[in-house]
Amino acid sequence: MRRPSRNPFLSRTGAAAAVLALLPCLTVAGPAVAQDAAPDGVGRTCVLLFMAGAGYGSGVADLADLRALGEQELAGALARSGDAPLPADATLDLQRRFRVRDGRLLTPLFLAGLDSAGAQRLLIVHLYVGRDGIELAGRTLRAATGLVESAASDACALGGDAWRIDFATACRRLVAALAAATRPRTGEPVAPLAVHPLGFDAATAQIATQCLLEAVLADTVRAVLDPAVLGGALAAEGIDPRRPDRSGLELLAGSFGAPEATMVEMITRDPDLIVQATDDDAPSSGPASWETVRSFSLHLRAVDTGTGLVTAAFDVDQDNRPAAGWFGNVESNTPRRLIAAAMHRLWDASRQPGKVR
Amino acid sequence: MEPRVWKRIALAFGLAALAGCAPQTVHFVHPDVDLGFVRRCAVVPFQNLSSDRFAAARLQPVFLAELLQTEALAVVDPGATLVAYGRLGLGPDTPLTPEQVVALGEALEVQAIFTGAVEDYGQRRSGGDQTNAITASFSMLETETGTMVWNAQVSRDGSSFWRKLFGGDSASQYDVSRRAVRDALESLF
Repeated sequence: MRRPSRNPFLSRTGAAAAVLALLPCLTVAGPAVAQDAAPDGVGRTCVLLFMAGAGYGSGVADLADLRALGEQELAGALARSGDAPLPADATLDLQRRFRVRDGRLLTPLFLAGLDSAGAQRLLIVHLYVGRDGIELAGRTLRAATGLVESAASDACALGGDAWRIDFATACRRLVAALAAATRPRTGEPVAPLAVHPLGFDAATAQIATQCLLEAVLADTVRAVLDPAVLGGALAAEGIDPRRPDRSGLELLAGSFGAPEATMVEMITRDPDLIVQATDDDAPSSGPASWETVRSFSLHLRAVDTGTGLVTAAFDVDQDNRPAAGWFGNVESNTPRRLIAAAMHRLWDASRQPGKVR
Repeated sequence: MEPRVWKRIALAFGLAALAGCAPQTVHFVHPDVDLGFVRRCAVVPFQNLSSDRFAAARLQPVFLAELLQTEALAVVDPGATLVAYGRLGLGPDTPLTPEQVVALGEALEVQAIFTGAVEDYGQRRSGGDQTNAITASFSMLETETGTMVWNAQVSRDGSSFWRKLFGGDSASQYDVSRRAVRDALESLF
């Protein structure tokens, strides 16, 4: 008797559909268990997820759905690694009360609010939703001190039926990478301010700030202050975080014990390009500018917070041409890779012996 | 031909090549001012007279880095300088009067102020080639009276004798800018 032949495509599709159907149940179950199991007296971790460059071209994901999935996955991954995430409604309440719209400025009031809510750590993740992929940039920091524990990035494809699984896996990888990158840090803290862009939008500047943090954390065992915490403290005193004056530098020295402030400017090399700053959450019809970064230069200066004098200044220039590989192969670079490479070169140059005054 | 003649021809070629590579820098240093009293200075926002809207913003940090490399002066942070600029109601593209220079000097506690103007920035046609080029001028003003004590105008491009001879890409705009600033500062320190 002839047995009916199995269609491999149908069976795979069925399996994928079953996994997709089960995924929300699995992801919801993780954090719920962890929240209930959070030990008393141990600080929780507040998960903040922001979206930048969102709304363009994906056509796959509902952004609210993507955000919810991301928050669930991050909280679930934290719970599995032994941390206790702050409940989502408590996080939302804090965000609303202290008007935390993006991860660029974290005011002292918000950090105090976190403390009163029982959260000692912050996990901040930015999602950059592009044409056919999502880039994730995350960092963890201590709410009481503003010191960064670790920073890492990941990426996943956005397309096809399995993008939810890819995204969930990327969230888990990111949390694992952040946990692996955490190491003890001592000494006077490095105080990098958020990268100031000229000719680039806020999302690109945020990517550059993340790259700066990763470069600094990878290079030094010194403690590193979070740029958003520094920016929030300056803004709370009515000081422009992009260019702190003498009183701003004194604030950094007094409140955070930072002997120097590190400021980086990112300037486009395109003479005609100017990008208007837009609301990160608003959908845009054109290509997201962070996906099409132009050639640029990075300018770093270290400023003594006691004297207000520049102690060192360095620049690097970065072309956006694709790199030529072996046998005529062209290796295309993503904007993030370009910025990260330039930032590492800049930080390396600033650490060269004999160059720092 | 005698060897002496060959030597003369080679010397003439060498001088011609060097003349082609020579940077075009014109400078002035006030003869009656002793620069020894300047310990602390500030670099104010550069004027942009070129068609590239970010030319001045790009050149100023390059100037700052090169100035620090000379290890001759302590430089106040440009952020503080900008705040003082704002408090005095000054714009980045307005030339400073002597009174404003004195006021800035008091606000920033500096003995000298460096100003700059980017006159030309971008690609320039040289023969059949396109090269990156810059023309800029820099000044140092002492803050007791607002007098100009140093001024240099420099013009550089990315071409070279060897490039003209064998071909190749122009030096990048960034490298050209750095060389121009270095040439200008060499006339001061």
